[in-house]
Amino acid sequence: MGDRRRFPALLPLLASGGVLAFVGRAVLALPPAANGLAVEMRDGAKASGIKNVVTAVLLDFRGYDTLLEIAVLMLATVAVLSLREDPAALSRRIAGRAGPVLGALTRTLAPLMIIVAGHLVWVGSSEPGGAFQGGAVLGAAGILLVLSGYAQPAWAGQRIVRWVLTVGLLAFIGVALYPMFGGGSLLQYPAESRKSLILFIEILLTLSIGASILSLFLASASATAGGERP
Amino acid sequence: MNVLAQLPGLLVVVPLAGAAISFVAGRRRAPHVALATALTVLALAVALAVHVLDDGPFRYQVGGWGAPLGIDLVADGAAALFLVLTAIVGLVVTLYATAYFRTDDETAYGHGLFWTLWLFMWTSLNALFLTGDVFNVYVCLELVGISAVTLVTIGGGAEALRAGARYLFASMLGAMTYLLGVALLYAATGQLDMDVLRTTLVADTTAATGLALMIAALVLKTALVPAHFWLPAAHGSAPSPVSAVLSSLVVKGSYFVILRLMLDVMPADYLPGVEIVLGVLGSAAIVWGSVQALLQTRIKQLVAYSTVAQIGYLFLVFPLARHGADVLTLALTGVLVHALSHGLAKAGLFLGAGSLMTRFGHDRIADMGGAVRSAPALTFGVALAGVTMMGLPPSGGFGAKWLLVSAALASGEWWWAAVLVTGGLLAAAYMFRLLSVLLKDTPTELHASKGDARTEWLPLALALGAVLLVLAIPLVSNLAAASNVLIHAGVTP
Repeated sequence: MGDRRRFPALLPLLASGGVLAFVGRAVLALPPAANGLAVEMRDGAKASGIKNVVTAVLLDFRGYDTLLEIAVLMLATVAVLSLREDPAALSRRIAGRAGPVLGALTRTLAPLMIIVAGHLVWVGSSEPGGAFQGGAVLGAAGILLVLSGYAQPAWAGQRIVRWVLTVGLLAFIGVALYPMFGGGSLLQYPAESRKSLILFIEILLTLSIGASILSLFLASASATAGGERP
Repeated sequence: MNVLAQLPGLLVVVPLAGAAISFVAGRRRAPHVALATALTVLALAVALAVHVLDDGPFRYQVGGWGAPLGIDLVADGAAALFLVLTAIVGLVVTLYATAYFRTDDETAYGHGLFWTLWLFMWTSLNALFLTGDVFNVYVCLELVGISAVTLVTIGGGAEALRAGARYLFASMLGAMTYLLGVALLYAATGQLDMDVLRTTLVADTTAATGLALMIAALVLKTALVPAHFWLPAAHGSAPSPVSAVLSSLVVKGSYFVILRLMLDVMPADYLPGVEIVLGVLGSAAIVWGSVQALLQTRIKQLVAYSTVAQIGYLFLVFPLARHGADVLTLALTGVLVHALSHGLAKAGLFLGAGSLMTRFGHDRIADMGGAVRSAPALTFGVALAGVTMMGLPPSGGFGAKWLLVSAALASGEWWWAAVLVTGGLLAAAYMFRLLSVLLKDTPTELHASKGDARTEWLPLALALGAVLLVLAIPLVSNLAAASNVLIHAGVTP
């Protein structure tokens, strides 16, 4: 019986070993240094006026990828929501109650986290930061507030929550479409308003990304809290 | 705004906006948003096809940067063809779904989100057909994968969840493998744009490994035998409108990228022998899928295994492409006609199967006798879809097989023609098995209350489209001539 159970594990092991050798050979064949598109990126970033190359790549050169990635993020949230069978059960409070330490900590941390999120978005154009980082911090602040009982978890069946989840994508689509009316192509920000448009997208994206993270957390938390209880 | 020049961008953003709006619109208004989006996208797709036929293929620089820094979309004849197919099937499925997912059904919570998920999937398919950037393909594959898996599970039930989980693992494995391949390709070449790669690709172990991994990943996503293990369960247990979209469109998204990589991006013999392997696996798929379809006792499993078989035909173009411009033109036109006719007929079959299941209240083929008496239009639709599956004249399926057999004979490799003929005979066997039961003249008791007229006529409309496609073959061959594959091969001046 032992052999029978070991045999199926052997096949994937051999297969992944083969792939590993195949890929390893390819990696070893690489030249020691490769520039890729680094030169084009630096020149492009200079032309676009966005000093942080990562932000320039994410929201400008390859803004189309990011637009679709934002769609992936929202889709993932919608996907988790669609798996819930009983929306009423989910709006039940999962919130805990804060003890004195957690309460004091939350009262100090939560406002700070919201400010940090805002800061990350603001500096994103010139230094490391941006909507994804800001949204992650904002989402974490939301989770902390719910866990310590300071905020009622809202459920995505509610219209306002749906709007917050969607507003980032909608703003991105709006800004993407806007240059088309001036003869440009999709996402071709006009030079004079490039920075402010990107900041506008980033701020609304931060809200939606934060809300997505909070929703995903609440959905999984309520699945274990509400689903298993008799 | 010059709409014609903006068509590629609009074909992605319009369904994306539809998805976002349908989410905030709420359960009752979402179907209207989806219908409006479907009609708009159909108009845009047809306009793009006409534009490409008139003025030839063109590139669209998203963000105005242009390759290699930015992402370019490519609107050529082949892309236009798949976009139009997606729009036609998409509109019919949207109409069907308004009857299938009843908005007054309060218990079915996931169903309220069907529209949003479906529009996200439509967006990603359009994006996949248009993209000219190998990394952007990965983002599109993620969108397709997540929306497809979720749509499989949306009906609930243990079987659908199990199938969805398996589908998710296969889909993730495919996406990760693809990403690994892109990373290697980028490390070796420093380029992501397909057209730049086409003109600059030189012999290199790392680049070749990357491309091999990308193609392997796409083969898994296309469910080519032996990587089809996830398909029958996923397509068979999904709600019927979802099965229709998965079988008729989603597998073709990843196939389309294989087509671009194999016949356009890579120089001939860049990965020696891969085209033969794909041709042999395609032949194996035709035989294995058909034999399995013959053995199924449940209607949607039969249709799903038929998809496994029909996918095989799409891969016969690769070995045939080595035999010069004339054979390539015949074979490419053949697979494009096949993709269209299978897309229409398979969507019709799955929608028809769904309508039969709601009428009978079960999915056992053996107990579906007498369908012709109570639902004649529906049975006629299923039969017509069967005609094109078998490749009987006159139908789109016949046109496709004719072109592919001609290509095989012109290439001197007659064994591919033998596979094509065998596949047609096997398809006839499994379709007749289904039809002989449906056409039995026995009285039946049906759940009459579920008999919405839309669910009876829409499958017939799709099947009729697949049959009438035979008249549109000159149009398809013009679009094939306007595809980058033939232009870069020097066939089209």
